Amino acid sequence: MLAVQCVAVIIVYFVLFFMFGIWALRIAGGKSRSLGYTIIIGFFAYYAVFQIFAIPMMFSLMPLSMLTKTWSIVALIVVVSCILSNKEYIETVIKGAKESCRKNKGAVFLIVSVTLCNLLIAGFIYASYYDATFYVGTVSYSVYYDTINTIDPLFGETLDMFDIKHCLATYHMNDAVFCQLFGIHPLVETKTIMVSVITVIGNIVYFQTAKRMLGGDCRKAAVMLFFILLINLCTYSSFTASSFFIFRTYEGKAVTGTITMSALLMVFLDLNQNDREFRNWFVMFMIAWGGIAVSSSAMFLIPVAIVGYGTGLGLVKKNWRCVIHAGICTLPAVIALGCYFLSRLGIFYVYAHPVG
Amino acid sequence: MEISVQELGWGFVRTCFKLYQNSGIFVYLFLIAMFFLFLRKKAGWERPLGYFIILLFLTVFNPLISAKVVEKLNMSFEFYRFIWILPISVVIAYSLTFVLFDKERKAWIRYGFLCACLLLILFPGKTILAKGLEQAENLYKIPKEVIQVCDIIKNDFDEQKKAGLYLPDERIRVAAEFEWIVLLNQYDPSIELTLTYGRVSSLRAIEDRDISELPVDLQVRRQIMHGMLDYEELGGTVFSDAINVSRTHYIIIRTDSQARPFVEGCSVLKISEISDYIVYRVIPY
Repeated sequence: MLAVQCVAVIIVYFVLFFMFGIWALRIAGGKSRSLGYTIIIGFFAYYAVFQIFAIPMMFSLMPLSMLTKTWSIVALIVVVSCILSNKEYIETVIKGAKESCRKNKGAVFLIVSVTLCNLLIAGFIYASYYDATFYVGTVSYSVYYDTINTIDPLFGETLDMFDIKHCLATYHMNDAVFCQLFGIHPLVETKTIMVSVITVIGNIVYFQTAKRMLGGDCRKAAVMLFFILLINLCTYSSFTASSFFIFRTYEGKAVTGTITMSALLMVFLDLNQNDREFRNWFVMFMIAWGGIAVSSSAMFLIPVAIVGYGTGLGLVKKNWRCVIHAGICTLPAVIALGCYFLSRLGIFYVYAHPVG
Repeated sequence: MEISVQELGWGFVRTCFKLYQNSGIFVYLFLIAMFFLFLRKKAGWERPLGYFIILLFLTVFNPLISAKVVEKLNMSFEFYRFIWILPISVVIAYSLTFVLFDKERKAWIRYGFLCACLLLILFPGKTILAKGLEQAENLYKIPKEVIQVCDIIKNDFDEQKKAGLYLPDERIRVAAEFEWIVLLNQYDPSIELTLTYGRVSSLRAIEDRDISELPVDLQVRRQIMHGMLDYEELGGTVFSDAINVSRTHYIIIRTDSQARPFVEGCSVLKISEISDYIVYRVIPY
């Protein structure tokens, strides 16, 4: 029964990502016939939009149940409005995906096998790190006390002030919302459901990146995906992004090291084809924003990556607007960094309990 | 990694890369692949990606710059995460795919080169088996003993409450082995921990301070930590008194734990033994 519930929640996640992706691409003024690409953009858009609601409610010390109700309504509006306004487009994307699968059966078989292999390893092994006490504990305490990130999971006590560096990444609060909404245990949500979701999305990102590097050839991209899995499995150290992707998938850092960085590379390849298309820069901005919403580590890595990609493009295309546009895309990270530095200086702080 | 940018400069950056790739050579493979791709510039993205990587090595991985910035950001222990920006797996995988499908070369050259590269990836470094793969027993990804013991404790606590031995709004408080401390708060936050992960870490940080300088609750917790986690002989009724003062209701230890004599020297009742663990209820005095 629990396994069925997990599968159902995983499907809900992908439906949400797809719907958010369609809306994000519409706002960007473009459409994509690629189901995978839409899901990737939707993943980042989903967490970016969630952050807009979560942070004010968190700093206002509202209960988690309020965030759950609010976010349920928002998500429902997004899904219903998307279905009503984009019915034909959704049908086109799904038809396109079916046709692509039909034409590339061998590639699909390899992609599914690689993803399943990844899932079997990451999804079914027992890997416990002390860091889980913090990340999973945050979700457990938030659900138990019906608060948004106000309990220190390492001590089990109410925080005096919010840890600005970590609380701006509201990824785990979305886990808490889903726990409340569907009655799932935080451990199942973080270590089984989200591990599965992140593993699948990670492989989708890798595949989309591979396609772009290999001129759109699905067969070659599937083989490249297999090689990526092999490299990830055979180059273990406790510092690599792949070890986080396999053993610590429940952490936001795993998303940063694998999905966010690879998604930025994917968009960089699109920009290399066409750096004047607004959609590509919008997608880069959305990845930067969503990346910050998922993990606090991203606030350091994203500006470096984006400005680096922008400069590389600018040098080759002799178009320094690439660097300016890249700079604009780093705004979410810069704002997060600014908040972090101000908190370290004692200028920006928010109490995690009622004062006075 | 207890090394600092200020002290080692380039040595710090080199050590980060060395620890990152462990015994493998995949970072070198990535740099070699990127070098040849940069010169080849066939697909069109090689040059901009190459400039991107050169820029990273001139800035982030340049100890002259990173020495100042990393210290300011207080990121010495997390500097290795900047290596995640390098698309190492992707570029190596692309190179292998390119070699495999490159019709311009003879088949034996392609397959020979591919095999050589695969051997360099598969054998010098460690696989994930080095970490050890243990199949999870349940969808919670925690040992089933944790779930069983929590159920036993909660049922027993409810019965004791009904019998009037505990106050109606009192919460369960448990003292446990360290591997349980890190799991219990994830599985059931309704159970309070006498020693939390954070409390153990903070007590370790002030080990050199005399116990009499500490507030009473920290004195008590330090004594419990020394008894249960460090297996120190505290003498007399020190451990037993500390357990009672802390209002601990249950103690969970391994059957072969060296703390077992101290625990059984307290006023406790063994209520269950599951797998390798024993659960005691503390009888307050």
